[in-house]
Amino acid sequence: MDKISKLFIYLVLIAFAAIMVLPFIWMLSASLRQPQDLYTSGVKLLPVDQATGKISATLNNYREVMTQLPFGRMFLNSLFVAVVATVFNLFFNALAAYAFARINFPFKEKIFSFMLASLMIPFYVVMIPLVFITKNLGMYDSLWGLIIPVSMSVYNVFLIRQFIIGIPIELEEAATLDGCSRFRIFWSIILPLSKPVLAVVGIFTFMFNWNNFTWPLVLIISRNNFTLPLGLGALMTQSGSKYHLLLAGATITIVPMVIIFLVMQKYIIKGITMGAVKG
Amino acid sequence: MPTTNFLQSKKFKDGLTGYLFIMPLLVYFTIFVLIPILISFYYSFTDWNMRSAPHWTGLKNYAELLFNAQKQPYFWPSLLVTVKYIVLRVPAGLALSLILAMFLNSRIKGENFFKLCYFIPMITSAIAVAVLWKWLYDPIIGFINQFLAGFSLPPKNWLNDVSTALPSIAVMGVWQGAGYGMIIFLAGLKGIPEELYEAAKIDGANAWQQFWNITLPLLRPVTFFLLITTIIGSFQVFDQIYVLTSGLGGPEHSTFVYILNLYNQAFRYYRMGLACAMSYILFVIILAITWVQFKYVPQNAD
Repeated sequence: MDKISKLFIYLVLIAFAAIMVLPFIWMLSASLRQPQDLYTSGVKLLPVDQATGKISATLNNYREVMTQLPFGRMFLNSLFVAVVATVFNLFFNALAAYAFARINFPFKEKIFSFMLASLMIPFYVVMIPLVFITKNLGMYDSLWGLIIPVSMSVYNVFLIRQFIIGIPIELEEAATLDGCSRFRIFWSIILPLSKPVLAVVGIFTFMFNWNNFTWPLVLIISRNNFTLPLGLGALMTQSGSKYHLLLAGATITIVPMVIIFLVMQKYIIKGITMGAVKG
Repeated sequence: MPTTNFLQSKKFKDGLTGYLFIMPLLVYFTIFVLIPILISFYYSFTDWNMRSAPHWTGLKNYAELLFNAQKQPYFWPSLLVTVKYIVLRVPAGLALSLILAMFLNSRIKGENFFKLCYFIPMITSAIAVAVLWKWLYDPIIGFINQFLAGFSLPPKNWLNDVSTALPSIAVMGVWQGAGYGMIIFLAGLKGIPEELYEAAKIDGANAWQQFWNITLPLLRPVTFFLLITTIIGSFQVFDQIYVLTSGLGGPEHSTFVYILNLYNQAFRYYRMGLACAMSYILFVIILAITWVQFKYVPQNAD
């Protein structure tokens, strides 16, 4: 490839990297500026005080947004929902996936294909009955109501099962001869070996629940049970164009996920291609 | 005693363990997947409001949605808005993803850095993205109008103008989804054997011919997958539009997409039965899209 086309490629890649990332940096910077500066001057890479022209960060916007909505509480709610839903998903999905992959029981294939067929149904088909059922189980307007209806996933079972099928069976046979129970085998052999797929399922379940908006929207009423996206959405309707508040709220919502992403990035990239590209 | 033998047999034990292991999933699946699918279907034939018992009304909900423009003035328009959104969102999104993937695949430095950058919008909540873009689109202090002013271009009220609101939201979608498509295209590109390009070069094929005759055909399965998933996803666009328009789909219903209509029927007007009917119409549409693509779009690399 000649130098000019190489240069062109770099320019395009850098331009798009800027388009994707700069808005987040501006947001962070804006959320740390004095509110009046935010409304009188354009976007800035660093939080600049308009009066002095110096870099100065203030947490005033964060303090003010906490008086509008209980963001601390919402943060903990989001964390609780995402963590518990992820733990449930990992354990129960893996348990079922192991059975579907390795144990012979009657109607196994039939049950599995039946469940897989349900993946074609859009969430909105089940949304209304789900609210009704969750209500009848006494979990309406509660954090458990946000967790239990998404505590397992057939798609995750499918991914984990595919992975377990690829684990050499000899490892288990030796353990069986030693008299290990099925659960022992699952817990001390299969789970540790499935770490790569569990990492993928875990991070995606966490991300889904951390960012989920529709389900909290139709289930939660009390401000004390708001999750971050739900609260941020309420803030948008409540305070229209008060960007100093909105951007502070958005930063609180985004930053934890970005940190997790930077730590776990290789699993996220693997996870996206896992379900999509086979061979 | 054959019974005792059976109870102690490996077959029986395995059957028991198997069912014990899938029991939580079975219970979950029945309560939170199977029953909702079935009762949603049943409710779609009733006038249920979630407070009192449903009354069987036969096909009334479906007939009202499809044929009664007086009572349901926005059913067909909302479908049209959704199709417009898909047309604005999907081809542009796929093209951008493919370009980024191809450029990343051309042996450049810093591949991982670029990937990381393209990914950050994707892991962000749609609501936070809506906040961010509402600010960028702001008619007075927004970056986009200030940027245009730098080129002496007139400012626009992006999200509050009938002609620009939906395209503006589609741009948000493309921006957020580009990284996802890019990763999937990239995986597809890495699967194309290098020798094919070398052979083409020997035959004197230029870059464009290589792209047209090797890359594109061999990416067909990946493109097919992305096309289906992006269309289905775009058909169900909701979160951003809900928070940007306070659930109204404005201005003048220009962003009133299908799911927004469904949501309003259910949780604004409490017409749960009607909303269930809408959800089944959505399901049929999605099935039809998938079927048509399987039938008419070549999925395999030949």
